[in-house]
Amino acid sequence: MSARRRDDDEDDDRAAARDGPPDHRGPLSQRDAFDMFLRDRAVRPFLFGALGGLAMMFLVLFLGGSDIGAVAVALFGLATVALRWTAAPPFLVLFLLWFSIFPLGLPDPDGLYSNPFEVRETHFRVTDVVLVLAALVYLRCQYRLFGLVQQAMPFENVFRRKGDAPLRRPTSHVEPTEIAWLLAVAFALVVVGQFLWWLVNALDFVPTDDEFPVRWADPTSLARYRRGAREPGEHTAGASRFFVMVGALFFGFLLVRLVFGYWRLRAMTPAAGATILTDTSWAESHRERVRVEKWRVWSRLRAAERRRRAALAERERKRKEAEEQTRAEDAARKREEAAARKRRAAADDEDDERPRRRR
Amino acid sequence: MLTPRGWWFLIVVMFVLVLGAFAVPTYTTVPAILAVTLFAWFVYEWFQFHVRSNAAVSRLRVRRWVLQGGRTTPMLWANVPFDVRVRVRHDGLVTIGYAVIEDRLPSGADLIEGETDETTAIASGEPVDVTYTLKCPAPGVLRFEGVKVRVADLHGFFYRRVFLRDPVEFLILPPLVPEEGRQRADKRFNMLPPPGIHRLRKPGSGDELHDLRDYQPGDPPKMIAWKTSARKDKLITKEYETDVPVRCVLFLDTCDGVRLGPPGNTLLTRLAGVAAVVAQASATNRDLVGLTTFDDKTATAIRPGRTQTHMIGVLRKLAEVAALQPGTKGVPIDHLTRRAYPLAHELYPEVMDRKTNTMPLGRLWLPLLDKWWGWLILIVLLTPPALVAYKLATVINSDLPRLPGPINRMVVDWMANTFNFAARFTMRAFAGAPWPLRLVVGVIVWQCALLFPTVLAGLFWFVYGFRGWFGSKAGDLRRRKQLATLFGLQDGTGPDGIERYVHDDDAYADRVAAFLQHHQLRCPVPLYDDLGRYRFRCARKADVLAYEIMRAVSRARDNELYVILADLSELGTDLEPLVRACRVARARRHHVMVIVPWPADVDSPDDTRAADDDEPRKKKKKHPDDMSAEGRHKRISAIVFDNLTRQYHETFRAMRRELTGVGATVMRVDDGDPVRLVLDRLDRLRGMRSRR
Repeated sequence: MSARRRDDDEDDDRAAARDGPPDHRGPLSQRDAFDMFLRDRAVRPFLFGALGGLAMMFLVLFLGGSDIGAVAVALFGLATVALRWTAAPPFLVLFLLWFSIFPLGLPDPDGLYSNPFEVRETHFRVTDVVLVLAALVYLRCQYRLFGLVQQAMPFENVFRRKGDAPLRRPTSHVEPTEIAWLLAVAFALVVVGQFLWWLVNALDFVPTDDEFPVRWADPTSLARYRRGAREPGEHTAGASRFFVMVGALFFGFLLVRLVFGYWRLRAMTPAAGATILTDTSWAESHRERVRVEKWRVWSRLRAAERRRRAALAERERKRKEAEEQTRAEDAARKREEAAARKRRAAADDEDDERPRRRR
Repeated sequence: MLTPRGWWFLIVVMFVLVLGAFAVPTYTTVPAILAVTLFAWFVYEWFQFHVRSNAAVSRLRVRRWVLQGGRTTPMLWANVPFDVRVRVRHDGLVTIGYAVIEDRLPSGADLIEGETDETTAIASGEPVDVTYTLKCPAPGVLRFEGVKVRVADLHGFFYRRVFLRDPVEFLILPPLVPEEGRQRADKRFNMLPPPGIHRLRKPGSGDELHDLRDYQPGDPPKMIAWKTSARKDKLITKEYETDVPVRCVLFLDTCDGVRLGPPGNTLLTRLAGVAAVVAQASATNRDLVGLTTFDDKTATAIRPGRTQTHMIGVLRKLAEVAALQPGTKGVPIDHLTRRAYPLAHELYPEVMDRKTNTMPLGRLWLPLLDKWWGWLILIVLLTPPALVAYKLATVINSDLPRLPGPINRMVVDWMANTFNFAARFTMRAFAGAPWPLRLVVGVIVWQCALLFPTVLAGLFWFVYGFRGWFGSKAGDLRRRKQLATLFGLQDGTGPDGIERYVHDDDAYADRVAAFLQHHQLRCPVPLYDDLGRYRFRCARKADVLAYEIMRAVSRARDNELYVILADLSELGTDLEPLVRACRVARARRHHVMVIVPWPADVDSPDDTRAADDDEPRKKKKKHPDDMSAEGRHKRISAIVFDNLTRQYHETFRAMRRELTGVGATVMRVDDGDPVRLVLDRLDRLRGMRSRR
C-alpha cells in the first residue's frame, strides 16, 4: 500500500515538473512558448500589452484610411509575437513609416498633399499620440516577451559560437509592478516625444545673433514659410529644424560623453588603468622596440647557429680523432701480429733441430 | 556595450527620424514624432543602463566559502562532496535590474547538486548567494578563478560582462581508504611482531633472543642466562634482537609522459592514488613511509615518517604532483594562442578589451625592408628622383661635379625620351584644348613617365605592406599582441615585454604554456615529433631514479621496501642505470617493487596472447583498392594501433625481463591489486629476520 502511494507521489511530482515552467536555459520549443503565453501569469501582461498595442495601431491606421496598412501591421505584429521573430520589431517601425506616408500602400507621389503648415498644426494631435503610444507599448512589451520566451541575455560574442545556448529571463524574475511601470514610462516618453518635437520646431536657428544662436520662433509669423531669397542668417523652417536637431544631438552627446567618460575613468579597475598606460607607452615607442627586438632575435639566432657549427666541428674533430686512434690501434695490432709471427717463426726455427737444408 | 539588437533598432530609428523630420514633414509628421519618441526611449534606456553600469556593476565584490563536512577547510578530500558558496554584493546606490551571476566551474570537479549560475537583481547591500555542491574524483589542485557577471537591460539593447577575479586554490588530497588501512592494523599471525615493528638481527632491547655471549663486567644481572651459565660453568649473558620499524619508500614518476591525458584521469593521477593508498595503509600499520617524486631532471624526497603531520605532507605532495600538466614544447604557436586567447578573454575582459588593448594599423603594416630584396625596391624607388634632381642641380649650378659618363648619358636619354613621349601624347590626346591646359597636362604626363619606376616601386611597396591589414595573419598578430600585453602586465615587464613576446616565438610559447598551466587548461600536445619519435620518452629519468634509489640505499637502516611507481616501458636500453641500482638494492637485501601504469586503451599483454590463440582463422581480407576511403582509413588506423600495441607489449616484456632478472617484482597498475601486493610484501618484511 505504502509503495503504491509512493509511486503515486512520484508520478505527481513528475507531472508537476512537466507542467511547471521550463528551465530558462537553452532554446524553447514553439509548443512550450505557446504554453507560456497561455498559462504563465508573468508572461501574460506583456502579451496583452503587445496585443493591445497592435490593436490600437490597427485602429488608428484603419480610421486614418490605411486599411491595408492596418491589416499588414497587425498581421506582422501578431506573427512576430507568435513566432518570436527577434529581428522583426524594427521592420514594424518601417511599416508604420511606409503606411504613414502612403496610406494606400502604393507609392503615389501625385497623390501626396503637401501642407507647409503641417508641422505647426500637428502638435499633440490625439491620433498621433495614440499611435505613438501604441507603437511604444507594443515594442516595449514585445522585447520583454522576447526576453521571457526567446533570449534575454545576449551572447558574449557578436557572432554566436558553437555551444552557446540562449539564456531566457526566468518568469520568477518578473516583478508584479513591472507592467505598470512599463506603461507609465511609455506615457511619459510619449509626452516627452511630443514635447521634443514641439521644441525643435519652436526654435529658430539664428547664427548671426550676438547672444545665442537659437531663439524662440514667432508662431504667428509666416516668414519661415516664405519662398524666395532670404536675408543672411535667416533659415527656412526645415533648415532651422535641422540645425537645432543636429546641434542638440552634438552638444548633448558631448555633454553625456564628458560626464560618463569621467565617471568611467573614476570607476575603472586598476588592471584596466594599467592596461591603458602600458598600451599607450607601447604604442608610442613600439617602433624603437621593434628594432631592438629584431636585433636581439637576430643575435640569438646567430649565437645558436655558431653553437651548432661549433658542435658540428667538435663532433667532426672527435670522429677524426677516433678514426686516427682506430687507425693507430690497427697499425699497432698489425705490428704486434707481425712481431708475434716473427717471434713464432724464430721459435720454430730454434725448436727445429733438423739441419737447415732439410727443412 | 550595444548589442546587435540595439544597433539595428538605433539605425532604423535614426533612419525614420531623418526621413520623417527632413524629407516628409510637410506630408505627415507621424514618422518624425514616432522616431523622436523612440529615440527618447532609447536614450532613456541607455542612460539608465550606464548609470547602473558605472554606479553598481563597477562596485561588485565577491566572496567565496568552500565547506566540507560543514566547515571551511583549506584542503579537500577527493571523492567527498563539498559545498561552494559564492556571495556577490555591491555598495552602489542603484539596483542592477537583470544580472546573471555565473561561478566559473573549476576543471577536474563534477557538479553534484545545484547550479553554478543565478539570474537575479542585485540591490545595494543585499548580497546574492550562489550555492552548489561539487565532488572531485581525483587528487590534484582545484582552482577557482572567479565569478562572471553579465548584465543587460530588459529589452536586450545593452550588455556588459565583468569578471570578478577571486583566484583561490585548494589541494585535493587523495581519498582516505579506511577499509584498506584498518584491515592491516591487526596482527594476522602470531609469528609476526606487532604492527610497526620489524625484528632486526642486531643486539638491542627487543623480545626475541638474538645470541648468547660471555658475561662482561657491566652487563645487567637480569640479562644473565643462569641455566646456560650453570651448564658452562661461567657467566653467560643473553642478547636480544632489536626492534625497528619497517620502512617503505615510494618513488613516484612525474615526467611529462605520465601527465598526458584528460584532467583527473592521467597515469600520474592513478599512480598518485596507488601511492596514497599504500602510504595510508602503511601509516595505519605504523610503518614508516617516505616519498620521492622525480622527473627527468630533478627529484624531491620526503624522508620516511609515520606521524599524522608527515602523512598530511605526503598527501599534499601527491595532490600537488597529480595536478601537474605536460609541457607544451613542440605545440605550434597558433595552437597555443587559439587555446589561451579565449581563456584570457574570459578571465581578463578589461585587459583584453580592444578599446584599451589596441593594435594600431601601422603595426600591422608588413615591413618590406625586412627582406633583402626589399632594399632593391627601395633603390628603384629612390634612384630616379635622385638622379633627376642631381641632374637639374648640375644644370642650375655648373660648379657641381657632373655625373659619370654612362650614367649621365642614360639620365639624359631617359629624360629626353620621356619628354618626347609626353609631348606627343599631349598633342594627340588634347589636340583641340587651349595651350595652357596642354602645357599643364604635358608636364604632368612627363613627370609621371619620368618617375615611372618610382611610382611602380611605391605601388608595390604599398600593396606589399597593405596586405598585413587583412587575412589571418592580422588576426593572429592582434591576438598575440593582446596576450603579450596581459603577460607584460602580469610579469611587470611593461612595453618591453609586449614587444618581446610579439617577436620572440620561444619566449612567447613558454609564457603561454605557463599561463595555461597556471589556469589549469590543458593544451593538446603532439605525441610524436617530425621524425615519428615519441616525444615523452623522458630517457633521463632512469638516471635520476637510479641516483635516488642509490641515495635511499645509502641511508637505509635495514631491509626496506622500495616501490617504484613509474612508466618505464618506453625506456628500452636507457633502463640500464635503474637495473644497476636495483641490483645494488637487492644485494643489500632490500625489496624492490615496480608498478607500471598501463594505458587504458592498450590491452594487457597476457590477454593479447590468449586472444590470438583463441581467435579463429579470419576470412580472406579485402584488398585496399576494393575498400571505401572510410574503411581504408579504419583499417590503416587499426593496423597502426595494433603495431603500436605490439611494440608497447614488447618493450614492456623486455623491461620486465630486465628488472625481474635482478630480483625486482614488476606488475601493472591494472593487473590485480597492487596495493594489496605492496602491503603483503611489507608484512613479509615484517616477519623476516634480517641481518645487517
